[in-house]
Amino acid sequence: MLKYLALLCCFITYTAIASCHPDSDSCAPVSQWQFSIALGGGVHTNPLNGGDNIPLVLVPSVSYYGENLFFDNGLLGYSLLENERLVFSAVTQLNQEKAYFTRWHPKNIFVVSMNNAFHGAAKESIDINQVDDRDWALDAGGQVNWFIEQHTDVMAKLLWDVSSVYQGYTGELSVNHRVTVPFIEHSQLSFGLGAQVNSRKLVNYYYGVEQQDSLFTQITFKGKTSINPVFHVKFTKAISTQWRLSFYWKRKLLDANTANSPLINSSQIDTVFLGMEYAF
Amino acid sequence: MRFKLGVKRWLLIAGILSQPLVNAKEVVFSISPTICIVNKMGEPCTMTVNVNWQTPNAGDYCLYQDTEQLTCWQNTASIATRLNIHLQQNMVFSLREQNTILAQKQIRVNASAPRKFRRKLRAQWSVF
Repeated sequence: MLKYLALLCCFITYTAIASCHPDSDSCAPVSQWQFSIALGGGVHTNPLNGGDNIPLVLVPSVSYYGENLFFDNGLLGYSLLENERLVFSAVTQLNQEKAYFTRWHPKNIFVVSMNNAFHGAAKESIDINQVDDRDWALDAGGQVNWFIEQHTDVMAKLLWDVSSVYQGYTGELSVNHRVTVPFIEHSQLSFGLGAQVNSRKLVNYYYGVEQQDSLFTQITFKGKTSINPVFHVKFTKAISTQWRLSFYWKRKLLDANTANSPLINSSQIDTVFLGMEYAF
Repeated sequence: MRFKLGVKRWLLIAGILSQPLVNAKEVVFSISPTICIVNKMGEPCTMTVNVNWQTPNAGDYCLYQDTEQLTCWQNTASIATRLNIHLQQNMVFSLREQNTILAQKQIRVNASAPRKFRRKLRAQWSVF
């Protein structure tokens, strides 16, 4: 074990310092808005009883990176400290949990409704229409990006509810790695492995069930701090300067402390998409 | 009588409280230039700076770069010298007597040309 740790330390210490290659998917031009839209097929599953899966047909992407300020698909931030390997940023974003309870999340705008097809849960269940509505929450906090080398980075984010909706915190830790695919020109494969941490108060607010919450049942559920492992893989192949083929799959596994909620009928959330992306 | 004693007491307290402020005001500290230019942000910057300081009393003073001690002078009341410094980001330089900061200045690191690209800080694609 110590041998592997020593090897890891050497790797981290002596690998060439990461730089930003203009052609790389992980770099953005400074002070320019970037818009792209992907046309294809896919789905973002909804784990809630009575919640709608979100079919993905048109998927927009919007980002802007200034010298310090940045906006990247819903994440607004300001980089306070930046060097070759580390970036510390203050960030804010809408909490995504509410999206499962509503049709009006930004990510739901470009798609049409489709009923959830998952009904395999054997436990007692409550439909989201039977409980009080949940509110949107605005989170804010800090983010650290650590660029270990050109193809590998670590991202850690810790956010608090600044809108006093659920009065808790949420965090994220992920390791991302990018490789070029042999024998396929202009292609890139990226992997991400990590975990999301949701505080007891967050889980309790969105997935907890109080006696007075539901008029239709006596079931109650109290959420606990949850650690949800997340994995994603993305493949892109540039066809021209503006068109590229994209495949994306992300899976989030819900901790039992969340998945045992009677509101939830699936312990995993998948996002799958295959399509053509056009960059404006 | 009671009033006069009160005034004296207040003057004494005010005198004690204002002592560090008076000293701090009498310390003259300058470091120049205050901007270090690099080709692009993140690159290490090395330059020679002029350091000048003057204190009312001779003593043992040290120059710090952030929390790192660069050099010290014993039983000295003023200095005009040149120093080589290395920095990679904005840094505060301070003149200290033991652990007390007497004066401080910041040296900023600026890129000569604005960078054209920077790393994205969100790994996931799109809003998902």
